[in-house]
Amino acid sequence: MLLPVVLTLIFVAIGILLTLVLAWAAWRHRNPPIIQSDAENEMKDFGPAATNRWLRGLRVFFVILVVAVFCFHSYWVFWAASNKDSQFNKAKRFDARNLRLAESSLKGWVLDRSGKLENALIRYRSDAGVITREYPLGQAAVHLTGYSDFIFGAGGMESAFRKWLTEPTSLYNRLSSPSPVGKDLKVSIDSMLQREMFGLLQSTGKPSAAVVLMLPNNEVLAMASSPSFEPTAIGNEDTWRRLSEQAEDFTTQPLSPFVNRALGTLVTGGAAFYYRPGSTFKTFVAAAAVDLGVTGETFTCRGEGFTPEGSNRAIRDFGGEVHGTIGLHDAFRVSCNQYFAQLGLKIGKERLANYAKRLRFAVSPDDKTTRLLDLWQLTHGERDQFDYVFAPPEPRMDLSSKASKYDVALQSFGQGYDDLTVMTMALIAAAAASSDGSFVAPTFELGAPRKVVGPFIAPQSAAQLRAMMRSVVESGTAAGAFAALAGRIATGGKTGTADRDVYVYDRKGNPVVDYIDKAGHKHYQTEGSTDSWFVGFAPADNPQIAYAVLVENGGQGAKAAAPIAAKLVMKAASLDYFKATATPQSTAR
Amino acid sequence: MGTKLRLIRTSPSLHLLLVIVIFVAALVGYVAILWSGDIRGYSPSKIVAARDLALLVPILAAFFWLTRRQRYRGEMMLLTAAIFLFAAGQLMQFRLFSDPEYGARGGNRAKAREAKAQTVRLLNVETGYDDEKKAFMFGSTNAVPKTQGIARPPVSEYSLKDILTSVNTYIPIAGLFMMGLCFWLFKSDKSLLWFQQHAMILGLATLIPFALVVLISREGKFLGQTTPWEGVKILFLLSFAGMLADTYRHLRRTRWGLPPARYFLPFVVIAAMPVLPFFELSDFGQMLVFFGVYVMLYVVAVRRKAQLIYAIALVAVVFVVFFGASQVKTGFGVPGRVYFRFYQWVHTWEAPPPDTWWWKRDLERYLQAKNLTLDPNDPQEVRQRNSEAWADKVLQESQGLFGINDGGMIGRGLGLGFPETIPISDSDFIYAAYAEETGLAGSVSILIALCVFVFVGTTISIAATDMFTKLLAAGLSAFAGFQAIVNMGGVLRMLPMTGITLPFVSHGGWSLVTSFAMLGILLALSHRNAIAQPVEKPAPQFVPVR
Repeated sequence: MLLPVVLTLIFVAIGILLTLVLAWAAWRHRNPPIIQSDAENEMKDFGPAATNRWLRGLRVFFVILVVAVFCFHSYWVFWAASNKDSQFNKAKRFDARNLRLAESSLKGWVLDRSGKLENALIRYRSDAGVITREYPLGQAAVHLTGYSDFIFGAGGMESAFRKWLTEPTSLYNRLSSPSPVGKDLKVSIDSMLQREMFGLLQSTGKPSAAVVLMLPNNEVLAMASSPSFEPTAIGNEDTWRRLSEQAEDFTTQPLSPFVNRALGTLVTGGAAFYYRPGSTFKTFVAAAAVDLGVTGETFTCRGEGFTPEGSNRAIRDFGGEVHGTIGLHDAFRVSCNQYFAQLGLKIGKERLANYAKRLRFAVSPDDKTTRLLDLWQLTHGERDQFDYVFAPPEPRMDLSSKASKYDVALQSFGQGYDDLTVMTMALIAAAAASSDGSFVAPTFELGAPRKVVGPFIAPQSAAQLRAMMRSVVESGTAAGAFAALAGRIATGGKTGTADRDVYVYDRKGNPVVDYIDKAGHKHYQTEGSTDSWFVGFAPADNPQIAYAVLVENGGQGAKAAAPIAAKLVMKAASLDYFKATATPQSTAR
Repeated sequence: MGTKLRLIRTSPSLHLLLVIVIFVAALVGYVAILWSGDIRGYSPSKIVAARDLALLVPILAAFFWLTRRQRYRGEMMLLTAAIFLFAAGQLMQFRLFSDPEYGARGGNRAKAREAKAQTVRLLNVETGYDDEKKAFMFGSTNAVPKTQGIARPPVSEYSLKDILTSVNTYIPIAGLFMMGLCFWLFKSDKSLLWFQQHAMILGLATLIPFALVVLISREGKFLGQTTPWEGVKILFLLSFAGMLADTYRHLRRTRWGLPPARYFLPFVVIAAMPVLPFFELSDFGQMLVFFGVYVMLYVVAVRRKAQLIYAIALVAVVFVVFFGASQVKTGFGVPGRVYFRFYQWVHTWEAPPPDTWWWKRDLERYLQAKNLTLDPNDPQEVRQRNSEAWADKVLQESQGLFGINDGGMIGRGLGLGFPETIPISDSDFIYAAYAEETGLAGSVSILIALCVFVFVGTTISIAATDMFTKLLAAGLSAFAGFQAIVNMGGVLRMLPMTGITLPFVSHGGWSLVTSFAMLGILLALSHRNAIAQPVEKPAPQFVPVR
């Protein structure tokens, strides 16, 4: 690249010098000697020589035209692209040159944490000399890797880290080739765990998602969402258009494979939707209670339920269970809704809101909820581009002055106005599992410094919370699901069962319209659905991973989500994640 | 000073040197392109490069014939400027036709593009990947396909026979021959007198075969891709200049700024003669240039300010009418293409409504060609398809402008840009291709060379003693100049886009031959001026004694 450019400059320089010499000579000789002819006798005004003034005018006119050409040329070179929103720049996005540059360059590979080429998330493959970009994990990791196409653009990491992946590896490369060899990126994902996790989710046959974080930096070990799609689907224009339309319409979005259910985002970029956390959210309320020292309270769980002040609706437990008069530890273990409803009211809105804000919740409907920008720890790639793809929607509660006691009671056990994502729950579990009880930003960066967003609870409170979560697995609601691990790996966790209303779809995947009101708005049929949740950490003594699992319409947490969690823990153990650091937690108990 | 200047203007040996310098620069350019091919994944043909550089031989032959045989004493600068433009054009055409993607058509185009891309990728793997990655991708590091072997696109290597039978070899030689012929023809008083006396008949005699050829031509082309009527430009100009030289005295007698009708009306007829066939050919660029040159010659010959104002007003009215009419619903008998060009000029990247009368049919054609169906009840789809079709329609202009923007100040380097993405960038859009690869700096040298051509042409006109040669010289140089402005203005969105070539630079048989013929006439007129001058004996110089 360098040499032809230098030769071009030589060529251009000679051209300019030569033409300038000619121009100088032409200018100096602009007035040729006029031949005295017989036409002297003619009237001066009529002689041919009188046209010379007008011919000089022609010259000036032509030079003005050439200067105008020069000015227009300069405009297109220097000013046309300066206004980002100009029509020129909008049209230039479809410049045929982009395709040629993109298809002849080599973007960086995306390697998993092992750094081994065979475990790469994105790499190039050669078929008899034809080099194509390959996504070896396919649909198992498409919500992470994304896809890339010359026409439809890129998603996932392909989009989030584009700048890094397309940056030339060296100055030599930049100079020697018009289409660069991009830099490789090593991310924190473990491709084996990722593959295993997606397989587990897919086998449920239901929309589901899970996140596994590695402590203490909250590196994402695996993050999967089902249903999924092959990254190569973008090659088929019809399929892609259909999927895009489905993802963009809010009524069909809940079915879309484009939704990264772990983050509540779209793989193409943009926010999708929230989940209700159910009983897993008791981890949060319990954390607040422990940290505030509200641990000695006992409340009674009755058959007729608990009716908060100022309300006529009773709060009951799942399946009408009755737990009697119990304390915090037992209530957490058996997941008593009535206890936590009363505990939440005891703690009070303001104090709950205080803890929610530490986790960057929006705590009032007046707060404009957007996306959790700047949440992720990021050292490669561009923040805007990354957040567009990976920033989850801001989790929210309603703890404002307008919220009634009934609302607060519901939110205390993960119902009502609690809106969050699987990642939020994984981060709460990670905060509980961390030695210092702080809220740490998640990251895909391997070996980046730990980014503490802020303190959540005191280290001692975190230790207490872990003990409570451990009892859930050992003798509480998740004991059955984790029975296979008993005696081998001690873990802690919390089940969750969340009720919410979902659209009813016909066989073609279109929502069933209930009625159309007078204003012409469509109202769709809905039905109740029970999401199955499990959040936890492992191993219990010295937590190395924290995770959250969700299975939509999976029934009770212990039935669908907890077994997946147990298998995940086993897989992580087999991948040697629990041996790694033997240093005992300084703050344990 | 005077003698030195005289030397630069007319010294054959100095200009011989300049021509050789031009070819040395061109050699540097050809080496750059041959080198770039390796980087960009295509293989320029060395034989074609050698052929292009070997055109120096006929050029030198013409040069020596002119200066030795014909004892040429006129301006040399015109010739050197034209040879510079010609060499730059040859270089750019070589660059474009070396690219297999540029030459290919239809599906082969995409294949050629992909082959180039894969070659570049393999090159990048070779130079940019470590052994571990190579081994992973290809089994072993030795198995990396050598770029010369597997992935190289089919080498566009020509054999000597191809070169000797290629029409591209003979067109420049034909051009030089025509230059010599015209020089020989126009240097004599006899033939000039004959042309002036038979001006009217010459115009009519040109019109009839021209009109016949036009009638059997298709879509502005004759016998495939040729435009043999390029040459009639000279004949029409001769005829117009002859008529004007005869009657300009009468036309000066104006009342209210208007000339007497009995002299003026024949002029309107003569002026309309070339316009009608070109109108039939939809060659609005030529019409524009003819119109400009005729108005200019008339104004220069008659020298009435009122008539200059009328001419300017006429141009303004034409522009305003079309500018306004591009928004109107019907055509008033003017072809839709004119409206399209004006609309494109004003709103390049804004699609017209899909039911616009001059656009509807093109939209349908686009959908048919792409095998797309359109549901007229789905406004979003209609908008989408409409803007796609429009983007496709203005592809040439937008790709050209993107390229100029990418080229920036010094360009991407010869052979390193993407001018293959600009349709027909070897002829109509060669300025955009040149600007992309050599930048504003390279284009400036083209602009200066054109300025020199017109400036020196006008100098010849000023120095001419009789009205006919004066007008002929002015007309020819203005024709080349205006043609260049209309071409470059169209590329740069300064004027509506018209299909017209850049003189000496663009690829094109008849157009190049015509340009060289014009050059020959200008050289002849310059020679006549010079031999009419009494030979200056340099005054003896004395060294002053202090």
